[in-house]
Parts: sequence; C-alpha cells; structure tokens
Amino acid sequence: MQAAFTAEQEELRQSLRRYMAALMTPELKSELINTYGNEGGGPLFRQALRQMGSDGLIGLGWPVDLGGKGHGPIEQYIFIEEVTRAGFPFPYLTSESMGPAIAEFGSPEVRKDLLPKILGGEVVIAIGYTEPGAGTDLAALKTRAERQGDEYVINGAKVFTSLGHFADYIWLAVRTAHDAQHARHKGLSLILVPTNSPGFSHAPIYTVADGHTNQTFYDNVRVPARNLIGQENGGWAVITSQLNRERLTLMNPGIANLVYSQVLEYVHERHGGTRLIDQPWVQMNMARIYTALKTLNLACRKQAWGIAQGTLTAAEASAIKILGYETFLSVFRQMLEVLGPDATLRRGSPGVPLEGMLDVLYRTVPVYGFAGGTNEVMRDMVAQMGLGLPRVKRA
Amino acid sequence: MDFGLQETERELCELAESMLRDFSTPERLLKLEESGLRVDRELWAALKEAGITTIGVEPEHGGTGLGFGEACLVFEQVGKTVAAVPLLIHDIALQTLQRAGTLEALHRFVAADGWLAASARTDRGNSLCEANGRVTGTVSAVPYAPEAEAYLLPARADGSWSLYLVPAEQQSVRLEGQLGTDKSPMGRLTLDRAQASRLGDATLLEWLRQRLIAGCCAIQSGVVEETIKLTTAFVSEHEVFGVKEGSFQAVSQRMADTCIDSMTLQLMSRHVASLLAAQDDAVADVLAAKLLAGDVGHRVLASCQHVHGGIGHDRSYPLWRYAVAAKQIELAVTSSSEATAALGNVIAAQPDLVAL
Ligand SMILES: Cc1cc2nc3c(=O)[nH]c(=O)nc-3n(C[C@H](O)[C@H](O)[C@H](O)COP(=O)(O)OP(=O)(O)OC[C@H]3O[C@@H](n4cnc5c(N)ncnc54)[C@H](O)[C@@H]3O)c2cc1C
Repeated sequence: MQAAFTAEQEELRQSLRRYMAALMTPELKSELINTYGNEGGGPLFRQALRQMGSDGLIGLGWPVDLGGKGHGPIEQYIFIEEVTRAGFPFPYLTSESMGPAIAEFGSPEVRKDLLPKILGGEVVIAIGYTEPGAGTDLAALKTRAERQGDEYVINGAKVFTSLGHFADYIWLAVRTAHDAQHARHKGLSLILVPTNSPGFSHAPIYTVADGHTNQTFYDNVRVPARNLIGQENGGWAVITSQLNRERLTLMNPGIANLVYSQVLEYVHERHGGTRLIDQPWVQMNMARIYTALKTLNLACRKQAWGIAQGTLTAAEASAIKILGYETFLSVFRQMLEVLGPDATLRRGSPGVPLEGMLDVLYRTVPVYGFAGGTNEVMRDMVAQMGLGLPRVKRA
Repeated sequence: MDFGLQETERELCELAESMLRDFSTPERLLKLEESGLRVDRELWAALKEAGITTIGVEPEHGGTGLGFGEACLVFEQVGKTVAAVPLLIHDIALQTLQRAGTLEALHRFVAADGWLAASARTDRGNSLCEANGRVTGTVSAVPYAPEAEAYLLPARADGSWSLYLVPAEQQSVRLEGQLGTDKSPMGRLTLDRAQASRLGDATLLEWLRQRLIAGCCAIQSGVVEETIKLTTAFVSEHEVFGVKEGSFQAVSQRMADTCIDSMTLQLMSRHVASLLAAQDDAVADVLAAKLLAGDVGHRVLASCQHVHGGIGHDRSYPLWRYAVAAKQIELAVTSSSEATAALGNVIAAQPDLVAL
C-alpha cells in the first residue's frame, strides 16, 4: 500500500493553492462574508467563477472531447480539497455531478448549450428534489409536470432548494405519470427549469448554520420539452446517477485539515504566558483528532483511488460518507473544547479564535448525517451490500 | 497512490492463510490450550519450512527477504485464524537482530527450531538494569517467553535505555510461566546479573517497539475481520421472532458500524506497515494506529458478542477465541489511552505535524 500522492499531483496541489489564494481577493472575501451563509451568488463570486472557467479550472475530470482536462478522480479530489480550503463556495454539484449527468442523459440541444457554459463558470444549477413529504423517501414526491405540445407545465413546491435564490436552473424532479403502472419512482422525470421562467418563485429558509436555502414554487411554469433530461418517466435513473456522483464529491476532509492546522498553531502559541499544548488533556484531544483525521484522509484517498481503478463499491462509498460525518462530529467538538469558551463566540466578536470558523462548522455538520442519503440508509447499504446481511424490512 | 495488494502479496496472504487455517481448527486449538502450552510446534515447523518464520530476514542471512509490509500481511492471517504461533514476536525479533547487525546470533536463530521472545516494556517497574555487562531485574508478561531460546529485552544503564539479547538457558534467569487472557504462554522473567549482549541503544529499542505495535495492529485487523465474517454468517441464519436476526435494522446498523471500523483499522494498519517498510521511524502514525486498533477491537467484539446472544459465550463456538485475542492485542505493548497520551506528547513536540 502506498498512500502518497505523486510528485505531479503534489505540484497540482501547490499550483491550485497559489491560484486560489490569488483568486480570493479581500473584496471577494468580504462579499462572501456579507452574502448570507457564504454561499456565493454576488457579482464578485460570479466573476471569480467565470475566471476559473476561462482559466480551464472547471471540469478537471471531464473527458477532453467535452472540453474538459481529462484528469483522473485523484486530481479532482485534490481540486475539491484545495477549493474548499480556500473557502470559495464553488458550486461543485453543477460541474461534478449535474454536468456529467447532462452529458450522459441530456438532449443534444441542452448538451450543446449548457456544457460549455458549465465549463465556463457561467451557470449555477440548484437541485430541486426534496418536498415537505418527500426527503429520504424521494419517490413520494408530488410536484407534477404535464406535457402540452412542445412544453412541460409544472406545478408544485419544493423545500431546501439550496442556491435556488440565485441559480440559473433548477434540476427538478417531478411526477409525470399518475397511474398504478407508474407508481412511485416509475412515474418520475427530471426537468431542467430556467429560473427566469414565469411562475417560478422562491422564499428563503435560514438555517442554524447561517445558511440560506429556499422553498421554491412552481405555478404553471412552462419549460421546453427538450429540457427533459433522460426519458419521460425515466427520471429515477438520472437521479440515482446524479446522487451517486454527488456522494463522491460530498466527503472531502479539506476543511477539517485546514482547521486542524490552525488549531495546531493556536495550541502551540502562548496565550496568557502558557501554551495550551502543555496541558495533558489538550494533548489527548489533539492526539484523538490527529488519529481520526488521518484515518479519514486515508479513507477518502482510497475512495478517489478506487474510483480511478473502477473498483469503488457502493458499500464503500456509503461507509466513507458515514465515517466522514462521524469524524467531523467528533473532531470539531474536540477542537471546540481545546479553544475553550471563546470558541462559542460568533464571527465578528472581538477575540473570536480562528475567525469563528469552528462555530460555523459544528453547526453545519448535522446536515452531513441526513443529506445525500441519510446515514441509516447508508448503513443499510453497508450491511446488505458490504456484508451481505438480509434486507431490512420496510413497512 | 496504491491501496490494493500486488499479485505476489495476494499469493502470500493465501499461502499463509491456508497453512494457518489448516492447523488452527477448533479441535486442535482446544488440545493445545489443554496441553498447557498453546504453541503449535507442527504448524511452526511447517511455517519455518515455507520460509514464513523468517519473512523479514534477507536471503543472505537465510531468510525469505520480503519486507515489513509483507510480514504484516502475514500477521493479519495470524489474527484471522487465532493461530497458536509466536510468529509476530519471533519474526520482529529476527528483524531486530538483523537491524542491529548481530549476524552470528541472527544466523543461529534463523536456523534454530525454536523461537525468540521479545518485550519492549519499561513501564510499571518492569525495568531491568545493566551493570558490567550483566542484567538484573524483573519483567512480566513477556509473550511466548516459556520455552523461547532467548529474549530481547530493554535494560537501563546510567539513565539510558538499551536493547539486550539474553540467552534463556542460564542459572541467573528465572522464568515463571504465565497465561495470557488469550491462553497464549507468557512469562515473568527475573534476572539476577544475567549474561546479556547489548544489541543497540534507545533508538533500536524504539525501532523494535514501533514494529511490535504495527504488528499488533495487523493482527488486530485480522481478528476483527474474521469476527465480523463469523457474526455476519450467524445473524444471516439465526432466526428470532420468525425472521432472520440480521433483518432487524438495529442489528444490521450495528453490524454496518463494525464493517466501517474494520475498514479503517485495515487501512491504518497497512498504512503504518508501508511507512515502516520504507523508513525507520513513523512514531505518530504508529501510535495513532494502536489507538485505533484498541478502540476498534473493543467496539467490534462487544457488538459481535452482543448480537450472538448466549452462544457467543459458549466455548464450543469459535467466537470466544476472537474476543480474548482482541483484548490481548488491545493491551499489548501500549493501550489506546496510553498511545493517545504518547501521541499527544509527540504533537506537543512537533508544531508542524499536520494530519496529512
Ligand atoms: C442545509 C440543507 C441543504 C439542503 N439542500 C438541498 C438541496 O439543494 N436540494 C434538495 O433537494 N434537498 C436539499 N436538502 C434536503 C435534504 O436532502 C433532506 O433533508 C434529506 O433528504 C432528508 O429528508 P427529510 O429532511 O425529509 O428527512 P426524512 O426523510 O423525514 O428523514 C428524517 C430522519 O428519519 C430517519 N429515517 C428516514 N428514512 C429511514 C430509513 N429508511 N431507515 C431508518 N431511518 C430512517 C433518519 O434518521 C432521517 O434522518 C437540504 C437540507 C438541508 C438541511
């Protein structure tokens, strides 16, 4: 076994780190902090994203004939890690998850129009799956689309449509058939909805982690039929393909590695004449954090390697998603303990350590437990596909 | 980056596993345990014949010439089969002699039919002292000390530690047989100005200690893997309330967690094996791996014993051997909490020790 990156990969990492440092100007940083939830959407964010596009940094892993760089999953992993470290809210899913799905399932017109724009950093796509009665049980969704001539007419409502307040498109899961033959997932379709369509609207949902996500509403929204992705009533295949790609981009230890190095620096500095790292319990916490992060880094690298080899199993991907969540949950808590009561200060408070980053991070982590497949379902997959246990009965 | 096994590594694993499994049937292990010395001399002779007892020794010294990474893969198989052999201790002791350059002793023990015992412990008063080339003191729980040909032991002189080779057959060495929780033979050695030859300084002792720890992690990885296999088979067949036990979500979720634990331990264990194959010192990751090995062993065995219900406690069913093996390894050389404290010390001394 050999867990190290090659010299070229390390070089790529260094050049990305330099690139991102230059991209993150003080003006951009201040715009990001002032947009609620650091999710982007402002003019400088848009400008930086287009810059990355024209510098050829988007679609690192896309095949060359689609305009990408043809790099492997390990390079993509490095890319995501570095972009995350830099604190730029890069819309990964647009380029890493929906982009490839559009390439696979989209109509020729949509492919021709959108793929270059995605690579150019000109569009952001939001995901509209979840509804008030359909989250983990996505196949229960009710938003409907009816074919009328060359158009689909869409009616319904979604919740937690992240980025929906500034995205250019919604990657929308809808029901297109209602008979018994097309029950649940058999009657779903995937439609790409331009957000400038009449009848589309949104309202904010503010989250505990200072995030801004949305309710989105579809009131007789008319969309050209060519925006159907995949077959009518064939949406489930598109959704699972997209979600599988999403899972691969979700778990990256980049941000945890960054705060670890900052906490490490902090505990070695003198505060009030003493160093925190000279206290036994601080040493114990740091040792546990080191071990957990080392393990997660190895697991994520192995995952990237497994994708490159074509050997990654669904059970392993699920296992790593669970491991990532559990690791974040415990290491951020242990880091907060090390920083002490000041760690609970919110960003902007005088004396807040690490610019308040840990306070935001611990509030963000719970989402990893249920988003992109809730961990109970992930564990079912590990048990059934990894160990071969009998299927769990669902009512 | 390569997280797979090479073809030769896979073949080595298969060879070692099949030999270890053939000999380590429950009936045979029971007999050995009842004999008072849980060492399978027939298996040991077969392993020696196949070159597995000298795996880390260079061919020019009569060994097989494979690296530490390969040795640890074989230790995983020892864990999977809970085989009654002192392979870890003996093989690492030989590698230490090779490292120290004491070739005469190395050749002698490579050729011998018996085994070497070794201990790196210096804790809780288990400290030997050296004066005028003679070693004095007591050290307890030395694995496979009974009937060993010689011992590798740390001793202190003028405040600094060195590693010594102590021949077993001498008046001034008293051995009291001890029995490990896994029923393996251990020994308390009391030395009274015993003859000993110095192999190296504290650096060599640390070299030995890190490899003993990494080897333990590999064994634990095998123990845990086999335990999960056994338990998966059980809950897939066993019926309660008219359904397979494994179809209860509470049970399958717990088993999924054992699977994740096992995956991480195998990764960490193989990672430190690869580091130690390439460099002398990997103290931070070695300690991290032992911390994990102790925690994972504890958690996985608790879960697997639990979902077995009563039969997991029945000594005619194989699970108990894995439970005691995991605990033996958990406490061997250094425990999870002690490793945590030691790793904390390393971090305190190394401000630039980033996670990866
Ligand atoms: C910040 C944020 C951003 C989001 N962004 C998006 C987005 O961009 N687009 C989008 O479509 N959605 C988004 N979501 C929604 C997210 O995908 C859902 O919250 C998720 O799918 C879970 O659905 P739910 O909230 O309805 O919970 P439920 O499905 O009701 O699940 C609640 C809990 O029930 C338990 N449970 C459920 N199923 C099982 C089972 N089979 N076995 C055992 N236990 C079970 C689990 O504990 C689970 O966590 C976002 C959510 C948040 C909070």
